[in-house]
Amino acid sequence: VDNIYFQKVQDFLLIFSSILWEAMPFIVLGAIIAGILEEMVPQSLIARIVPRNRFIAIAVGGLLGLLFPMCECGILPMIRRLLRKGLPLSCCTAYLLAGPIINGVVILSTIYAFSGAENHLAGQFGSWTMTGLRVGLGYLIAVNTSLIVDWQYRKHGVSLLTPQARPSPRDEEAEENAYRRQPLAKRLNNIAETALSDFVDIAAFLILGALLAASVRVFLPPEKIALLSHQHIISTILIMMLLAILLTLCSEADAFVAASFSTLAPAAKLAFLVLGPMMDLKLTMLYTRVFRLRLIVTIFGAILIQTFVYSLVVHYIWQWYQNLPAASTP
Amino acid sequence: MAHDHSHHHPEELQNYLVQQIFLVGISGAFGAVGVSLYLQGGLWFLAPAFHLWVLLGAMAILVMAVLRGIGIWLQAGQLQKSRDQHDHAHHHDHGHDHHHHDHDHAHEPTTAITTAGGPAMGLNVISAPPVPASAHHHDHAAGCCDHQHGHDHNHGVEGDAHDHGNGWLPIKCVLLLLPVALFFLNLPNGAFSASYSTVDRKAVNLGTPPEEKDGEKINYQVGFLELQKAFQNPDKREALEGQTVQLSGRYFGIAEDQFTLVRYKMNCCAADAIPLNAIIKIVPTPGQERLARLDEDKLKGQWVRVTGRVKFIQDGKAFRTAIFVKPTREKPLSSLVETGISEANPFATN
Repeated sequence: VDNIYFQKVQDFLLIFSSILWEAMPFIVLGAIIAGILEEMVPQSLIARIVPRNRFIAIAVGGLLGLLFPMCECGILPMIRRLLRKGLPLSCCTAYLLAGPIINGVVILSTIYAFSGAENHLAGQFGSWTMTGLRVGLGYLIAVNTSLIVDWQYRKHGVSLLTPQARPSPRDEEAEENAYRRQPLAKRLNNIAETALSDFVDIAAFLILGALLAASVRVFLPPEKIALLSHQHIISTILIMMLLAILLTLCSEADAFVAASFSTLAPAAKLAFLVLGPMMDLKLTMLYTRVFRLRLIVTIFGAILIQTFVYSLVVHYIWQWYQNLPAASTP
Repeated sequence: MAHDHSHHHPEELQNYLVQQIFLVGISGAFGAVGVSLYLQGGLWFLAPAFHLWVLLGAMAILVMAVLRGIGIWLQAGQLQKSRDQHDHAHHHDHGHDHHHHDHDHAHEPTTAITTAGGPAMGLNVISAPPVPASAHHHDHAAGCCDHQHGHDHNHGVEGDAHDHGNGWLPIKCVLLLLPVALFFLNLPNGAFSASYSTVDRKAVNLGTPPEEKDGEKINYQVGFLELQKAFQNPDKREALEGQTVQLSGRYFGIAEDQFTLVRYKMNCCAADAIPLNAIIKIVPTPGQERLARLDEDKLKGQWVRVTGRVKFIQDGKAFRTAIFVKPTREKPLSSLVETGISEANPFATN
């Protein structure tokens, strides 16, 4: 029983189960909202409320998380239904990318995580600075990426999306159904049908992602990677970005893990916090249910480059600021 | 009760229904496992705040599965009806006549509800729909579907509308069966293994034992979390130093008289757990050094509970906890470093 492989399997199952069951309620919520959207919200309504100007639509999409707080797993099924109902792709990606960072729960947990423990050391960000930068960079990256997605969409059209996510041609019958009074039983049945099929679809890919993440985790405990990262700032940021992808944490919990790397350069923690909610092993599996490969590569490329560049800029500004005579006393 | 989708042929409807039955079965099983995990305390790898959410999510999925199960039952009843209408050979009559309307089948859903309670509800539904095994599939394409709201303009997008992402359904079902199977195998059943986290095995100069405080009284309120909170607060450090506390964790040897205890701090789930540790130093009473020996081979990687006095030591910019254990004749080492403790929750709670 003390066999090392047996122990690894045990660790693997523990991490797999905890990633899966932690995300499960949010997937269910997302699937049910997707069912309700599909049944009750007519396309014409979406067309009416989306701002005409695409820049405004993207800018608003990035802030939707404040109104509809959802974590990254729950957003996916919703996004797919909204795309079918004709919400512009760029508006969806803005919500998808920024939503897991810019929502009340995550903002509060970030403030809380960085207000405790060893985060009053010299050279570290205070909790408000860290949270503010996380939200700010998250929004900036989401909006810029969505602009790129918008440009790509103009060029390539719906071929960027999987068939299940393509806007369906205006369906008169569904339009009527959404407005018409219907027997409750029928509505519930339709909602249940969509919700169940979305749930099974997304849950299956969540399980794939959790399997992947758990196998990586068993061989790469976070502390081991953190030891590697006390190097030059560029490699530190890159390693923390890699860690964000491999660890596959929920955006509500990642701040606590980042805060536990107490002496790490704060800009590297920031990169970890900004990248994780937008891109990790589990999310990659889920994205394949909405986006085709070309779009996934575009989005990931845009996110990775921006996260790296912005974090590096923040690092140098922070160093410059600390070396100012007035601010040098901690 | 017709659904929005139009199904020209009974076979098409049948395929669709079989697919739906699988969806209902697998999500029902998944939901049932979620509820059972909650009830049996099987969610120990999640922070307590999440347990209720898992229960609610699992129940929501169960409710959806039941609703959908009833819906499928009704649709299957229609399949039967449409077959009876076309299949003139099938005149061994059942209770319901062809000219009757939908609501005559009301007895069927009631059975569905009564059989649908337990975890195996998916299986009940699978065995239940009255689909005749040897149905004759005549080609009655046109005009036969008066029971459906088959709007013609809808058929153009039918393939699209039917694709709810149900491709690869068998593989998805297998994936979803994985957590169900783990539940029945009662896995995961153990905390992080000894090899999971890297432990700093450097011997540390801990200096002299702390000044004793509060006599022999053990402060049970203080655990790994309280000690960690005290790190950045000088007043708390001052108050705790010298008190006797009890810590449980996994044993990792450092030197003859030093070892590390490791435990985890969980924020949301086991995947985000952070290792916490304390250095334990054994201080022998002069003349009784033999009593202060630990059998490292026996303890390696084991869960132990240590009783000793707290001292905070500065390690670079940060603080660490040290516990000084003082075995005496009255209190031998085996009572201060206990093995074989039963609770061994890998996640610190205080």
